[in-house]
Amino acid sequence: MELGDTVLIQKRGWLTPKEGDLSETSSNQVTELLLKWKGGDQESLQALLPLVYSELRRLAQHHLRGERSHHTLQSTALVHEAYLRMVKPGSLRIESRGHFFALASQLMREILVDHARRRSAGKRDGGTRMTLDEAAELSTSKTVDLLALDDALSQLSEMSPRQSRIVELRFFGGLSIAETSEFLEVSPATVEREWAVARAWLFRAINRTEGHDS
Amino acid sequence: MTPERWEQVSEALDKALHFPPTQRQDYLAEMAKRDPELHREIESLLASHQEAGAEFLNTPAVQISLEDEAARRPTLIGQRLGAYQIVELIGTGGMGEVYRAFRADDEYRMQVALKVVRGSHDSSFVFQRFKHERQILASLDHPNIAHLLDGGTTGEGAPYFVMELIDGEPIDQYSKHNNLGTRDRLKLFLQVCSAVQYAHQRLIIHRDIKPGNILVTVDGVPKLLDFGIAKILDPSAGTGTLDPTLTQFRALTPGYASPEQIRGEPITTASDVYSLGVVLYELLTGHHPYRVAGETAERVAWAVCEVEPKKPSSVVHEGRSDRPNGLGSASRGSAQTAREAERLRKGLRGDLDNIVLMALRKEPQRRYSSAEQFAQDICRHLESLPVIARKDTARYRASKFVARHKAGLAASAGGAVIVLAALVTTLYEANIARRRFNDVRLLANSMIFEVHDSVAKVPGTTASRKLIAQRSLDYLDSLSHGAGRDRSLQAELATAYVKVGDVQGQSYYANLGDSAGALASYRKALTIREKLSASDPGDLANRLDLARCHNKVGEMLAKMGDRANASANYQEALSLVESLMAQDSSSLNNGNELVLTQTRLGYVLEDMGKLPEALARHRAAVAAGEKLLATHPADPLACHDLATAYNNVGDLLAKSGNPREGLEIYRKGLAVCEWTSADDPNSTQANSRGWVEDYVRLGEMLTQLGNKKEAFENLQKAMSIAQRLSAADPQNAQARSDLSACYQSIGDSQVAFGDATKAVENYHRAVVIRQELSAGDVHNVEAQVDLASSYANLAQAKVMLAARSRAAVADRAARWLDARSYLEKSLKLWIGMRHNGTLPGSEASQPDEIIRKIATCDAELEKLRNKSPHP
Repeated sequence: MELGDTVLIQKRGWLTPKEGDLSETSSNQVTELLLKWKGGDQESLQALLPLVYSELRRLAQHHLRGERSHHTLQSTALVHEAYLRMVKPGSLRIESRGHFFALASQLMREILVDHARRRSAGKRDGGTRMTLDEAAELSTSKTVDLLALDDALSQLSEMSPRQSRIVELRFFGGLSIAETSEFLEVSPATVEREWAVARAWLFRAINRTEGHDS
Repeated sequence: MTPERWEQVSEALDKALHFPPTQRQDYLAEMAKRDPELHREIESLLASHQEAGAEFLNTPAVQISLEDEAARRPTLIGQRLGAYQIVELIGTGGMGEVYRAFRADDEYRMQVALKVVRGSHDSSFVFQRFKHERQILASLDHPNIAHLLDGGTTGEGAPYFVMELIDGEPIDQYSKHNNLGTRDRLKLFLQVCSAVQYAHQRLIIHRDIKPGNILVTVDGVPKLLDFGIAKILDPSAGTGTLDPTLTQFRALTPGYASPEQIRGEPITTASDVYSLGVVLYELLTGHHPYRVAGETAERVAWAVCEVEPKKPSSVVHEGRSDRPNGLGSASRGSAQTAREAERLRKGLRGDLDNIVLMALRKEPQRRYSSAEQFAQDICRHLESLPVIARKDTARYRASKFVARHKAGLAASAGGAVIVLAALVTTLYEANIARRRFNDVRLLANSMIFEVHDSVAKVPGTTASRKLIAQRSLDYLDSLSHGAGRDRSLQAELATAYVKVGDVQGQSYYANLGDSAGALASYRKALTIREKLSASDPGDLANRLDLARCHNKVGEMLAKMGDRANASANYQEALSLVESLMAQDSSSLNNGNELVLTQTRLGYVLEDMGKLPEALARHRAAVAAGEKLLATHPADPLACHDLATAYNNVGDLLAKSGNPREGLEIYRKGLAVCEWTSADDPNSTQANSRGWVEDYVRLGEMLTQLGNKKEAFENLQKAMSIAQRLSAADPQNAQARSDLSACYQSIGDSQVAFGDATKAVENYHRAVVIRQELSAGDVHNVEAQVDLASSYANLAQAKVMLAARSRAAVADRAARWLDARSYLEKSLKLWIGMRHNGTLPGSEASQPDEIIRKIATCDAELEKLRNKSPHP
């Protein structure tokens, strides 16, 4: 269940999948591709990524425009929904589901960070300034600067790929500790330990970045 | 930091985090001495761990982004949407926000609920659909359905709906807070069923039934919210997109959606029955049938599709899980709790277990066929009558039977065989009799809802319609295998087969272009009707139906090119109808069938090349039609049939060299048509396409008479109707065929009046449509004839242009070659038909004619080659 460098290198090429790619594909095909990938066929990843990406992007846009309320979202994390839409329920065993979720979490990260980036660019261009009240409100909420987090996470992955992956699965993929441990094939205790350490480091990294930048 | 160093840091931090405070101090102090740098790092990270608190990164990124988006959205409170002033936010639901609002221009300031739908819906699409459905939804007038009042789109383009404001709480919470017993919960639920049944009868499926959509008012009246809205918001609902990858968003609540909804299969009333089942399960036990709380959507979906829910009685070990606080097991003696749980379990065991599980069956066809049936079973239970739902019906019946026949079974081996044979029959027939009502109803349901929803004027539905036809046939076949001697069941079956046949391939109506399938279905109906007729020759209603079946079979045979057998079936129909007319000549049904049968015989004789006989049949149809109209002057069908008969006579006269007489009779027919449609401004589709045919024929005749202006006027009229019909339903083969006929006829007239250039364009349009129609229904000989004619006419027009061309030699040669290629295409089709014996008699000379034309082309090409500088 290694998401090696191949994935990252291939990323740029499929960033803009053709519209309608997915519509011509059946869930069987997604399943088949995942199984092939699991079997070591890197080629199948090439075909799989655009499918998952376009579905996730569609879902993310959907949600970001306010489709779902909070409580439904908790249980219907986007990757689950994407999984539901793309793979026949119950048709894949845990390993390939792990693959799917790893893939999807990574893509979710990219999509949401991209969304945040465009948001902040739009803010500058549009010239709307945040009032003090709003700024205060934001800092007290659970809001995270996704752009800063993305940078920090990339740094973290150089020190500990596993910790970075855990954060990706948990925070971007919306998976529980138990699910993360299943997919990474490590004990829940390990996930919990690494998670705590990664959180502390990331929190510091983000706040330090913010301090320097502002 | 290097990975190695970081690993060291990670370990140290982990240890520090897990030590109790005092030990942590010691640990850090020791570290400060050993590795001051590590100590600084750990202190710093411990501080940020503290600062990060429990929240940091523990809310999924998506949700943060979502809340962020929501915070940026301008508030609607205080705004006015249409006639409504928005007062306050009263909830955020699965689809968006719900506001309290009032009608600003209403002096009573009636309060309403205004629901704004968020999402990437194509709002103009949603709005269109809303307009389309509004009439129907607004007409839902039931005490247990929250009234839909209005709707529109906000300034940002988000759709909104205005509904009756219901002051109440979700049915599950209401039951819990009022500590309702099982009987009261059932009674409340029955009202919900009646609302659902009411809507189903009006062809509206809810699609999203869940406790949150069923509010109970303080007076204890349950009200269903959001009826029909899921469909409006579901982009795939009308387009028939059966894409399993679900590129379109579906409104769906996994815990309450049926397996077929989750799989993206067609949604029927049975889907609502399923969701009702989940609601009842929860009401009775306080548990969800699949224990979905805290599960991921993916697991819920899997469970819904794969896992059999436990019996309701088996999940209430501790009583209902939803007892109000303060009355739970903690505050009472455990003995009392156990007694109560046992009482509850007893109440559920048996009937209620079976009822709930029947509603929750995975296969839609094995559930209750309607909300009404579901409700009736609950009523039977409440009145202590036997219920329909059984765990295992066959075993149940067998055990009863064996108990009754114990003696026979014991007496001898031979006796046992006889008794067992009787048992098998009993089970079988009992099953059939009991299932019959369900199955046929379910089929009707399926046809009405699925076909109604997806077929009616919606593009791109062919795949789903084929599926529906196939599924219906499967049902009918399974039913007819064991239908036994039950006349009314047999009759129902025959009617259903005809209906399926119509969907598959009935000419002149929206059909799937599956002629072979339609023929098979019609033949099944015919066989049943024949048997019924043999067993009771005096059944006149059945005799008429038998005649109709003969006509249907004949029509389909004619379409497929088997004219001899078609005419035999029509003759059968004719003698049956004539015998019926002898019994009752004033019957409208008999009269209509007579006109129709004569007309069809006329058509098939025409195709067999027997023009005088055909003319006689069409004249007989006119006579019968005139007589019928005299006794039933207002009947639109009679008018239409008579007009058609007139037109057929006129047509044949024109063809056989009497264009003037033909035109006269034709105008008579048109007068009847115009008169009919004046009476019925909302003329049906069949009428509209009747007009296409009439105007085309009139245009053809006027062309023959050299009246260019009037000819094109009429053809243009035909064209605009055909275009409208085809645009409204692009999948409808008949509408496409009509459109191609218009292009073809306009081309013909243009050729006749010397405009070959424009004719080429129109023939080409006809060819394109006809290629597609013929490819889509390979058994349809009429489509082949049409295509072959179009090729031939296109080639002819091209020949005219080539002959006229004064261009360079090479260019002219290219034109002749082009024309020749279309002649070849046409020839190939004609020869194919001749080979298969399906070439219509009226077209018998076509192959030879085309061969002659090809020879002309070759001669011209030869001439050009001799002229050419580079031979």
